[in-house]
Amino acid sequence: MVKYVLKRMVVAVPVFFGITFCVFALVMSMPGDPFSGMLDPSMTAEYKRRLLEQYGLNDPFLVQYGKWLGRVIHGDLGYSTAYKSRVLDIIGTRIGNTALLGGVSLIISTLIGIPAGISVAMRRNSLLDAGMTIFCFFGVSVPAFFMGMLLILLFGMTLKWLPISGMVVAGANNVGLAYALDVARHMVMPATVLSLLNVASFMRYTRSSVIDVLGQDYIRTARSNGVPRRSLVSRHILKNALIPIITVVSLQIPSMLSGALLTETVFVWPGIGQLNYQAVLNRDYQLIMGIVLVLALVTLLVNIIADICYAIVDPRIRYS
Amino acid sequence: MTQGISGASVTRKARASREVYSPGRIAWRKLRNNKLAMFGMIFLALLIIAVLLAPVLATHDRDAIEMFSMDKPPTEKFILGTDSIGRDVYSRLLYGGQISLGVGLAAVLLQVTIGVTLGAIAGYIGGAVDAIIMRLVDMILCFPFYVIAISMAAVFGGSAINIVIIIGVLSWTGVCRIVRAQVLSLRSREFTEAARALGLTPLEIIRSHMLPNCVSPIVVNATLGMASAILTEAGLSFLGMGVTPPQPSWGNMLSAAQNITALQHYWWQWLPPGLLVFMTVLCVNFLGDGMRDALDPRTRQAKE
Amino acid sequence: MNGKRVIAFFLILMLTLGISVSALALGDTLRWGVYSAPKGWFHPAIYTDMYDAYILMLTYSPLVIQDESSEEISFIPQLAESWNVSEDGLSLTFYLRKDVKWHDGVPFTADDVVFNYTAMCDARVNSTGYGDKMLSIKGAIEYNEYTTALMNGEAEGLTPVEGVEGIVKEDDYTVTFIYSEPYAPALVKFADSRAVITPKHIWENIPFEQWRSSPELGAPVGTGPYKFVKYEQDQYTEFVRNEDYFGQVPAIEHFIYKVVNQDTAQAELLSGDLDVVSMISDVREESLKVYTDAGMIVVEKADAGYQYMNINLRDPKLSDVRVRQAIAYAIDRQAIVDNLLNGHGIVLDAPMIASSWAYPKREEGILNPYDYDLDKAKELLAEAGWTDTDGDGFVDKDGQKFAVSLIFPVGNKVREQSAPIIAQYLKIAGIDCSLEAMDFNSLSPRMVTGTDFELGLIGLSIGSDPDVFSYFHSSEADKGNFNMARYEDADMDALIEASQQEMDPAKRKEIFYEINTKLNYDLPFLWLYSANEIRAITPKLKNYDFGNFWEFMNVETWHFEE
Repeated sequence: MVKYVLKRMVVAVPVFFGITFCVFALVMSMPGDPFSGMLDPSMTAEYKRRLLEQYGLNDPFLVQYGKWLGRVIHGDLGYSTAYKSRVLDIIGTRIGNTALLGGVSLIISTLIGIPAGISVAMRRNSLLDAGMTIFCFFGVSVPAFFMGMLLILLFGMTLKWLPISGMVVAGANNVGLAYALDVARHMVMPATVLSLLNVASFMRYTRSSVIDVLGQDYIRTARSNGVPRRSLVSRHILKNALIPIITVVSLQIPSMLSGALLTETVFVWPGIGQLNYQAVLNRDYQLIMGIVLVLALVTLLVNIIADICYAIVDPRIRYS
Repeated sequence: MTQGISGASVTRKARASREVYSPGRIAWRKLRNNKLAMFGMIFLALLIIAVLLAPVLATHDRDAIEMFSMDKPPTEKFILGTDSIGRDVYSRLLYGGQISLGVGLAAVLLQVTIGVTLGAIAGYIGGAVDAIIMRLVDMILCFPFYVIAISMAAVFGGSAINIVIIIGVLSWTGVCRIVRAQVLSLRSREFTEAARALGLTPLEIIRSHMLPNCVSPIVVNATLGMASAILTEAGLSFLGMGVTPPQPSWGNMLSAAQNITALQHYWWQWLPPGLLVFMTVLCVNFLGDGMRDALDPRTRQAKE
Repeated sequence: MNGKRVIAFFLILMLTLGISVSALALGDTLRWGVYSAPKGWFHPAIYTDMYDAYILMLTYSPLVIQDESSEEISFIPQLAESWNVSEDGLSLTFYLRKDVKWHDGVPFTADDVVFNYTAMCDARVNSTGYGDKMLSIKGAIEYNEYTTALMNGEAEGLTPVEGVEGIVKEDDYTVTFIYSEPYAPALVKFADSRAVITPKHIWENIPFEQWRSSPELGAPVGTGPYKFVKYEQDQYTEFVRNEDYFGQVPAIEHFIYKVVNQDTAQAELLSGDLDVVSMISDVREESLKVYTDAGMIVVEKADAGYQYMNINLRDPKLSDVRVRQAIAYAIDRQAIVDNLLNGHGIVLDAPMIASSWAYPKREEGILNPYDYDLDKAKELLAEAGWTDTDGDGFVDKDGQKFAVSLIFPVGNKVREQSAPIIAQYLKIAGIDCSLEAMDFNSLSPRMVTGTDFELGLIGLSIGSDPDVFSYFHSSEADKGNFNMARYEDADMDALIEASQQEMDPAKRKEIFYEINTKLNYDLPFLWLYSANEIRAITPKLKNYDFGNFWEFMNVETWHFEE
């Protein structure tokens, strides 16, 4: 196992090069530069040229990539042109917010989506199945920004139960439990929006893989032999259906980190998705690259953890 | 486990009973009996016909603006009211369907094509080719979707075709993994060896003996993919990077009506496109489920 | 089973959280909401966008600010008690207040002023203010050149330039600025957020090259009505009132600058999470009614800026003035203001603030209003050789259809909505107009630094002095700046130069009337409309007002009343 994990990490090295090179090439080929968005009668072309020089943005593409790589190897993710601070510091202040929001909604959606998926699969074509199916499709067909607005209209504006934007009450400077409660209140709506989409897709995948398992000969044999339902689910079905489910959940984690952008925008949640979007608009190259690198690391880690989970769930899987 | 050989065995059985049904016909027969799937299919067909006939069915020019009729509720003249700059919502809904359905279908088609091709190649050939393709998959999985999509839109422009390419290129990895895994596991089975011995080309083996076994996950993936493609276009519109204005899409109609005032007072601006997206996604999934059941060799065996 | 339990748990959690809302009492706090976050560049020489400028206006003070309530151009003393301009118009002397303290308790003196403006000329700081404010000051260019040499390590052998010759400290509380030529907009240049004074005792300790990356950049120490407390990137910035403020000490103790989503800001004001919503752009009847129905107060003012259609004068089709005039007649700008802006704005006839003394009013009948006139538009197009010969509905010339592309940046909703309307008007007149939306950084290389465009929509917010040098002087045409139309006209250059040097207000007004008349005919670009600035506030907030040039002009008198 340890050997396998090590091997995976070695294999990841070229992937990192590939990712960073592709993203670097892409963001650098976007029109504009970090300073072209600044329009001010007092800003001369000379001023902008000097800034570009100062940040090394006049160098040829490969030189810039090489310099960036060199710094990264030394643990320096560079400097953000827009925020005027170190990329690592900026990401540090944001990644926690995203992880919190993403983590909570992942837990919610797993806890709801998977059991619900199993139960509708067991009662296939029943009324419950139809109802849950429609709910699922509602979940996947309402854009996150729209769902967010609906919640804000209902809980924020009409009922006035929940705060509409941000992570904390600005300036309240709560600490301890009061702080946690404050964040929790602000998180209810964005977490609901994020979960809804995932509940739907987790449920669909679970339902589908459980149905597949149910069709297998040994399950039919077990059923006809009178194995009780409860142990059928826990001992046979869940175990076999879990592998594709782990895949789906693990695929969802990275996209939750970067894809929460729309939800974060609607609720002004200071997360990594919004930061990355702003970085693209600002042509803040080093910040974009830093975020991409961190996200890639997380994705790789999640994949390795998923592999370990496979082995735990199904001892037949061996890694060599 | 006897999965995989069924396609051939069914044909043989059918031949034996002198009722020559091709697998395709059997699948169709089963699909026809599935009410939800048929409902989905008919609804989608009607929808596609309607949006294709948009020039005939539309009551107004797609982009015609009536300066004095902004945000007007439905009337006889504008049967679904007007949008925030006085364009006919009903007519734009029809034309918007061309973009949304077109983007959804084309993007899914593209992602399934890329995914199946690369997945099959990786699984069948294996070795270095497999390693390269799988590293490519790893890379794309690590891309933060919206950042790449926005950058690509900035570089290539926001036309409908570019959006299809962006979505297609960024979301084929799921299908690729599924197909590769399946092909990999079947490659060393006896029947594959037998097929090879019979002189079937790799392409034939993959197409007729391996792919049918991954239809079910591919269909689930594709149907969810269709929904997410339509929503992705909406999301890009929300961020101002969707299809070129004044072209309508259900997504940008929905995102244009996203402020609180519109939500409260102008239901005709967001409810119709919202409902159509919902119905499309629902029907695509009904159809997908039906197709999965119909094409899955296992369920075929189970019922016969 | 499991699922239901989880749902139940979260429903209960939501309810408890919901009930515990009961407003966390904040006491005396004003929450001011705006749609974008400041970047944390809190230094007048370095910041680039208005969201940072808001923070500078709260924490720092300039020498003077403009009196916006006055029709005539007049100023309100801030750090300067009084000032005078010499007879020849060549020098401007400020007499500073003697009772001002920086937020850290150090007294404010003339040294701070001299240091601040000298640094602005220093190439190592690379200040955005240099080109705008300092060029006409005697010795500024020499100092800038010398510091450039220092920066590049080429200063050996050069005579050291110790400072800017034209910035003179007379005594601890008197500073004089000397100009090489009479410079009419001199005083105005000291009255904006880029002209605020920073403390010498803090910034002199940081090497000039490192200003941009210093931690001090994110923690301003000023002399303004509010002291900086905390900056939470992309969330909020917190301030507390300056008890030692040289003016009236603010009535409200805490000030929060909160970043909000423009689509939900309305809801936040109504639910009591905000006290002021800035920059309201949704001016539809129903939308504004939501505020007033809930008892909120809507405050509205004419804006010191406008939206315009930039025209590429280097495009062969558009370089013909008749074509530009045809475009002006073809677009019903009044209808855009009446319908899209719901009347909350005005159509402009010249590129200036309509209330400015330099702007000829409609009733004076000097400027052509270009009222919507389709026949006139077609007539002018025909005169320029464009007629519809093949009957496809679009005019053509030499077998070429008149097709243009209109590019515009995304972000401003009303501007985005105006694009298809403009395209339709042009289509009616026989010009095929396609649209391209993009983010500003993508637009910039095409329209600002480059000339790869035909028509473009963009907005301007302009200074209080009517000076149009940066927009229309030929020397600015290739600087990648505001002369995006690439307008090059020798007569205009002469007029602009005269307007800068003329110190007599009456004569200066005459020159501006001439400038506007010429621009109104030449139409280097088409000014579309000026949308009103709208804010909505909670009814509890009293004495609220805002300025076009100095947003927080009376922030110290704002107070809450139940």
